[in-house]
Amino acid sequence: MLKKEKLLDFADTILKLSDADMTTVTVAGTKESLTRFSNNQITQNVDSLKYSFTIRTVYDGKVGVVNGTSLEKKNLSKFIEKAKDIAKNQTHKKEIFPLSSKQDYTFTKSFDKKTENLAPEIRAKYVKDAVKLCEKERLESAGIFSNGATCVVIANSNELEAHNETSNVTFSITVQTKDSSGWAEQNELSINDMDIIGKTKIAIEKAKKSKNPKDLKPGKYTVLLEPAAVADLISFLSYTTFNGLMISEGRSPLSGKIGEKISSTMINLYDDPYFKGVGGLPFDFEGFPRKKLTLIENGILKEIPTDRKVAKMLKIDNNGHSLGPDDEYGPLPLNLYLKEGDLSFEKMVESTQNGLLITQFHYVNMLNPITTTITGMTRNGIFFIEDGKVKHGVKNLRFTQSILEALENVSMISNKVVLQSGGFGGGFAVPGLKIDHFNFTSKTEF
Amino acid sequence: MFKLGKLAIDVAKHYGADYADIRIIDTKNEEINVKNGKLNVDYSNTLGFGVRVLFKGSWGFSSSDNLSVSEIKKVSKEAVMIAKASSMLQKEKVQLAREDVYHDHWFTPVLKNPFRVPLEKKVELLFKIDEILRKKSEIKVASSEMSFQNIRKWFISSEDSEIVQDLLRSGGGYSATAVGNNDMQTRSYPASFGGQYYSGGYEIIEQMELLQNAERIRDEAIALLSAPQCPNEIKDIILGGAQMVLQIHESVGHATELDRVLGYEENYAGSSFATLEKYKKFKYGSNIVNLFADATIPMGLATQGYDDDGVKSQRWDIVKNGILTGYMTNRELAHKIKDTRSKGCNRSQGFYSIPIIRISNLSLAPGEWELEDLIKDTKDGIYMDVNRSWSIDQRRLNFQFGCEIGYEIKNGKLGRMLKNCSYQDITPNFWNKCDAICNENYWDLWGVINCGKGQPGQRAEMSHGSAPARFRKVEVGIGN
Ligand SMILES: [Zn+2]
Repeated sequence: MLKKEKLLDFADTILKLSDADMTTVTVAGTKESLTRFSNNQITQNVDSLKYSFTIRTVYDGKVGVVNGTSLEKKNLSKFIEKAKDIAKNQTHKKEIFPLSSKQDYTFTKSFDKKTENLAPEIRAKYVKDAVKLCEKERLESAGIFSNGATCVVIANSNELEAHNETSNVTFSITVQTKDSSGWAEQNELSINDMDIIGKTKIAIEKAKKSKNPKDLKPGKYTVLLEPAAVADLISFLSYTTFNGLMISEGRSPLSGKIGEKISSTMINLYDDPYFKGVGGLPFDFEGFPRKKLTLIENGILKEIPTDRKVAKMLKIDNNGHSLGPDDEYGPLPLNLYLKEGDLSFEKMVESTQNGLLITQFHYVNMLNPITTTITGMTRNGIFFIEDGKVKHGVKNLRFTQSILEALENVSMISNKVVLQSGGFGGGFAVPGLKIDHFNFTSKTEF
Repeated sequence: MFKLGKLAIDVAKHYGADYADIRIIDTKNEEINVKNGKLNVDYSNTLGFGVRVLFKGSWGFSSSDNLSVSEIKKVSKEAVMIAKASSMLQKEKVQLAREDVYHDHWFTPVLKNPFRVPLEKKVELLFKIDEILRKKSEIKVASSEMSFQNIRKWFISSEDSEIVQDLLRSGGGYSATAVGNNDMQTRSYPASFGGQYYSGGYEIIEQMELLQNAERIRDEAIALLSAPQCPNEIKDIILGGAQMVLQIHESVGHATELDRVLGYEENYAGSSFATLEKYKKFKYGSNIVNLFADATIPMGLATQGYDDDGVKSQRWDIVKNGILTGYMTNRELAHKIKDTRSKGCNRSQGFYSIPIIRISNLSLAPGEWELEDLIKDTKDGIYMDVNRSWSIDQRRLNFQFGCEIGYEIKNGKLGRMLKNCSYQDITPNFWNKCDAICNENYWDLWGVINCGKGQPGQRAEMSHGSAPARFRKVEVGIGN
């Protein structure tokens, strides 16, 4: 992938060519190499390096935005002309904030060259190691091994220069028996932190343990959610409930609730792009420094993400969470960190009289944003716990549950957080949770 | 372009590829959005190529956005190297189903090129809609949009096919979100999540009656705030066309993708209950349920001359008189159901992604009912329409879908409006409860533009046709 100087040089060429009142150039690069396997063999193997650039020009209160892919300089004037054309052909003006000037950012270690460039043979070897273990147990496996990197540059005619790059590596595996399955996944910034064999063993163990799953009546149960399942739940807080614009427009259940109790006092939730291993962006998509936020402290709603528009509406500070100068969706907390507790997950299981251990959720979607009611299925390992012991596998269930109500019913938090990847500047860090009265509303056939 | 394409094929062969193809894709997009009186216009143009090769029965794929001779040579070689790595873990060699060689130029029939319609004309329409929607203070968010996409795609294969396609699609719509009464409700037109899309030109926008419906949609959003909730009961439900689309897409479309059925998606989107032993036997739905796939249907978003395998577009049955009779296939997997030819469902999101099996245009054939008669014939039911939320398990059995709006049906009469409508069932149980489908006068195609699948994730577009249909004794209002 291109380095900072080259990307800034490209942006600079555009800034020099443009005669607009304000010009902003954003360049994003993604290198993605991914080996996919299923039925214990490699079925797909791809490599792609992709850049995209956005030019935003402002002429007399009117905006034109164009996007392109190739970073070849010869076609640039065509794009710049088109952006001008779009802006000049408008009659409607809108309020436009001034461009951000040069800023200071806090960087965390998030890039490893080796991880960006692993050869296809190396990926194939890791996959082979995992598949071999499954074959030894006569189990079928499917999954991915992927590695790559992303980079972002934002530069504007007001001398802003922002650059960040991160590498990433993911291993994900689903292991199947005739009537059960198990899953494990690891997301890291560096290949050095990966444990392919360890994860494969967890998936195998889960698949074997959940053989002959029993039917369970839907209803309210105490659940022990592993971190991946917790991430599935709280990701909706990121996209909707904690959306700064939705809060300020009265479209979130958190509207007007700053300073009020919104969850169990055990909950401490942050937006922290600087959390180790998360690989968050140190700036937002207008180039403002991204501030770490305390969203919930001991159950109390403290801060919400803002951009300049939301900051103005609510008369608070801009804390650098803009999705872009023309964004209409609203500022989001992209790097949720749910603070760990002090119990091991095993201890949490031991403390449970009757309950369900859940590995992962599937296809979760919002039913009612005002009550934060979501629905989804359990997947790849749901177990019945009795007298502090994992007894047997259970057929998958559908839940219909309010997230905020679930956070009110948290009774234990595990002492280890796990990283969940989330694309551009995304990524969460979450522990396991024990939640009472979790509402399962129907069942399925496997 | 054909010259560059040939070069890619020659280089791949030189490094040992047994099969190779290249797709060079030039895509133009124009997106116009007005939200609460604020205009955003976004234009994009992307160009690049992807090379796919088979080496001893294993796949390799690489791509680039730099269309130069040296880059094509580099990427072609890389694709072969990746295929060689794939062959390190191979159980079964990929074998491609036979397909004729084509030299063709195919294009979407278009009346008005949307890229030549003046920007201001499009913008004015959206501002007019925006003004109507925001005339009442309960509406906190009004969002209206239009989007146009033009794809020019060259396909060249080592089997000597040379195909150019010009694909154009147009569409748009709007939504109004009302806030009040401790609630928030949204109505959309013609459909939710971006509106309605067809393959074709600006004539599509002109036929949508966007302005004529804006007042009604706004007032319905406000009325929903004080409407009673959908009860949690067992009811007969009639689903409108805009919701049937999603029902077809999730519970039949994805379930009959052959790669899913065979476990290729197991780690991500999931697999399917519609496994091979059920092929040509399984009672998917009641006798009146007929679902057909058709990549040649006029105005469909998956309508094209050829898929990304270079296979000519076709029409075939997926469910015939209630029985599972077909799958979505590609050249790689057709032989798994003993077909000698692919149905032509291999598509990719762009030059940077490898083609995978995607749902084609998939439609429910119309029945015989007038909608009025169907309502008259329903004692205790709910009419629901326009999708709001969707979730289905990884084998496509247990689903729970929410709709924007519903109306009570009591003793054959349409009654009060209901909010937070949802329903839940198990796919084959549900389709076997289908006892009435409205006739062709109520039938329309609906475009889906955000179908996600695969790792790396890819987006695809397709259309589903349906008329309103009735399903007996379904649980509704879960969680209300
Ligand atoms: Zn889909």
